[in-house]
Amino acid sequence: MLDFTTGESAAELRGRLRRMVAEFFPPDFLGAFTDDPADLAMTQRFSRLLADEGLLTVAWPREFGGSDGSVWEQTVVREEMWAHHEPRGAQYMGLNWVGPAIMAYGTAEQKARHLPPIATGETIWCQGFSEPEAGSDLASLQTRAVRVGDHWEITGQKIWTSYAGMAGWCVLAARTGAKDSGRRGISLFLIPMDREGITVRPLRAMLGPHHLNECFFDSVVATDGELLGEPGAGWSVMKTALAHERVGIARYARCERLLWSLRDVLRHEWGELDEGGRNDWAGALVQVRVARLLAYRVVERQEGNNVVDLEASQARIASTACDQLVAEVMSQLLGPRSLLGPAAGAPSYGAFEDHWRYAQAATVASGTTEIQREIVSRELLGRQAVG
Amino acid sequence: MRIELPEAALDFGRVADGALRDLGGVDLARSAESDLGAAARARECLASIGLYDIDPRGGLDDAVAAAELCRVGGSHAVPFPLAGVLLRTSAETPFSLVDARHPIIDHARAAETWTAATIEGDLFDAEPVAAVESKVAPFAMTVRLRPVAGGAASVLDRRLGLVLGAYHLLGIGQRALKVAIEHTKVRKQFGQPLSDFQVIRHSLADLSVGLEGLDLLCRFSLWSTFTDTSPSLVDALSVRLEAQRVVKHTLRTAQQFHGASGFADEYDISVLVRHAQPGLRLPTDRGATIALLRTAIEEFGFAGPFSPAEERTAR
Repeated sequence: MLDFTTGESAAELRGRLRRMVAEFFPPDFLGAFTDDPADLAMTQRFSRLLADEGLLTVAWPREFGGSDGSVWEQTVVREEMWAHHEPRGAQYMGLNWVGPAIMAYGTAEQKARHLPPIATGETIWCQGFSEPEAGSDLASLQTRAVRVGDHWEITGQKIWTSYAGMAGWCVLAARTGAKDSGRRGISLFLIPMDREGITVRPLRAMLGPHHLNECFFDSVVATDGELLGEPGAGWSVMKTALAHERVGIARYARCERLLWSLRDVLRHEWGELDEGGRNDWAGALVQVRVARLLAYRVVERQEGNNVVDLEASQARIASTACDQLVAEVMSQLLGPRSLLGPAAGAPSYGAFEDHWRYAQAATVASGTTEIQREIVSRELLGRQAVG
Repeated sequence: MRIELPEAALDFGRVADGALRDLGGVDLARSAESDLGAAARARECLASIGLYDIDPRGGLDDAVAAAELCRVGGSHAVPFPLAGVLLRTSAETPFSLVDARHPIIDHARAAETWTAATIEGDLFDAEPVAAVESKVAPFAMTVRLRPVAGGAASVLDRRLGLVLGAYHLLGIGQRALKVAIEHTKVRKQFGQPLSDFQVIRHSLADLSVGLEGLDLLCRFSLWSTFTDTSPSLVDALSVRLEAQRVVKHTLRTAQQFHGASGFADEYDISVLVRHAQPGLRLPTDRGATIALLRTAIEEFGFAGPFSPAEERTAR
């Protein structure tokens, strides 16, 4: 019968994570990617603390350094981390999908080489997918991996690459097939970022430092042992990886926490605030719950090993739209105060302003809403994928 | 966590769907506007599949069956007060939520007297007076209310009234999306099906997201009807609000995709849009619902992992 409780162990885990975050981080912590490098360093230390407690890779199998936790415990971790401004910093990418992709498609050597440092929070990964001419149309990417003797040489440009400047490793998508081979000619490589021929250039952005970078690959050498999956099988690995990613960020969790935090900040004037604005606040709480339930359905279906392409895209459309709705509702209630930065005395140390900026990117990062709508409508209309 | 409906409930839904389809589906609703016998045929059909054996107040098992029946009934716009009869207070007395200032009940003709309650809990006997004579409420009637001395509607009855009403709207919305998909696949303009236009495809995707979310919120609110021990209506009001938001938008968009044919009653979407209006607007339309919800949240909170109550207990 229907049951919407996550269980005793998940509830205990939630409390434990909250205590750890509260003890470790100051109240003004807004994530790793601020102008203060100390924030990033703090998240690296916290990741190692989580790893020591077996909480960094809670749902990973024990053989790969995990705790064999339930998918609901993993869900609690995602919610608590995102709600508290992702205190794992740049680690979440390795945990959410690079690690699981290596488990699913990697060789024994790759698993032994890469999974332990992800499980202990030592390595930061970045994802070399987007290119200047290949955004939503990712299958048209043109970074080339050419066979030279017993190795590959990779040449091309990647862009919008988050954490590229700090990452030790990159999952790099390159074309090993013919120029017009589309999704059938893409391969993935696991490349160390300090390899000769790689240049990273940061891009100034409204999200703050580290989020957007350009990466140039100039005849970068890669071995066969650095291929993830078979040559030409990169697209299916990416597709699986991105399905994980669509529910990997529990945006609704930060939304819910901030909506209540806003109520607390405005408690002395709440009754005098515009009724329409307060009604919108109530309506936003409903949208947050809906987004959470859509994510939970994906988790439940993944637990039963069901295909979740449609459901994951529906959940992602809802959670990213919810993020932007909540940002707007909070701005309306705060009025001009929504513009204040942390140093100017912004409410909640700037958490609302920070959320507004991040929310604007929610419908673009890790696959645009338009692509999610294509996936959903294809299922609804019973169509084949284009390309 | 268990989000999927039990197989028994899904089976029951399939049986109900088959029975109502055999009766004509939306055609029955269409004919009911001029044929008083249609409502009786609907009642007979629903009775044959066990309508009168379900006690939604008895617990979650029966409530899930009642909810599935309301959803399926909504998907055929069945011309019968399903939720009202499921929540009847005696064999011949259905239950309805009303706006006491402008009391109107859909399908009021189904009984000589009703038990009526406001969302706030005021309790009345209600007697149908006259049809509202409107194309957007062909079966609705004004009713005369007589307060029940010392009576108050239970929290459970009001929650179930709101939640089963949301299930009815969910069914209507699901049908509207289905007919929109079918229509845009076959209707050609500029030499191609409407569904080849990206703007149409993306709108359909958004409608499906709304309806899937509403479906899950319906399940959550039904579950919480029996697990939330406070006197709060927040979960029931929240699902009503979401049903109003999603289904209004779905109906409007589906009708738009039909072009002029969307207003012709030979197309199901025209019948669905009209027959859905009482459920969408009674007893409160969206503006009134959200004000009630906000007041209720301010008093009782709104459960979630980061609500103040949860923040206190999880530390």
